[in-house]
Amino acid sequence: MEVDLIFRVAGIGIIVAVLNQLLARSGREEQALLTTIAGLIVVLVIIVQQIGELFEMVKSIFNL
Amino acid sequence: MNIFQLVGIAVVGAVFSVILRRYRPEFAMFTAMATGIILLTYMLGALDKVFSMVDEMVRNTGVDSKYFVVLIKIIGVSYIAEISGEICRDAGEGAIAAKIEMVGKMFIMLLAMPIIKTFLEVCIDAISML
Repeated sequence: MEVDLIFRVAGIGIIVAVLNQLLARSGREEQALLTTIAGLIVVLVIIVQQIGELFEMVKSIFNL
Repeated sequence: MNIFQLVGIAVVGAVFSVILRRYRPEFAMFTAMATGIILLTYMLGALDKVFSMVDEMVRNTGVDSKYFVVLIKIIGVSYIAEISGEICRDAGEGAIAAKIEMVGKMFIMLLAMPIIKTFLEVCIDAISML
């Protein structure tokens, strides 16, 4: 997972932001909130996996 | 992966983070973390080479490598503490960042304690011989 990690996370962020505005404008605040939370969870899962990989690498290099 | 590509990645990540900061601040933080992770992954690759070279040099000098291993561990702990501290500070949580750095210092102290003990013993022996 290289540079496209940034684009993936930023893309999800932009999509969620747009959807949120869309739903909020059309009067469906709850769906907007749910979309934001869903996007947040997806990005959180990706980032946590990447951080886990990074810490595994650090552990192996510094033999902690 | 030369330095210009890494700088490019950092700038792109920063731009995305600024875009998102206005509408979804939490995603801005995630973008910043993603950029940080990628840059650190490349840095770790280079660091691995450095450590193997230094390790070889230490072995040539005949010094006991125990101290060098502890030194690497201390660098690793400070490295992790600094990463997570900056992530928290970037998210606006200065207090948590300070706590993590304090924990990091404590672990470094823990790692350094045996060496300090052996050093003091050497000093005491030297003094007692006088």
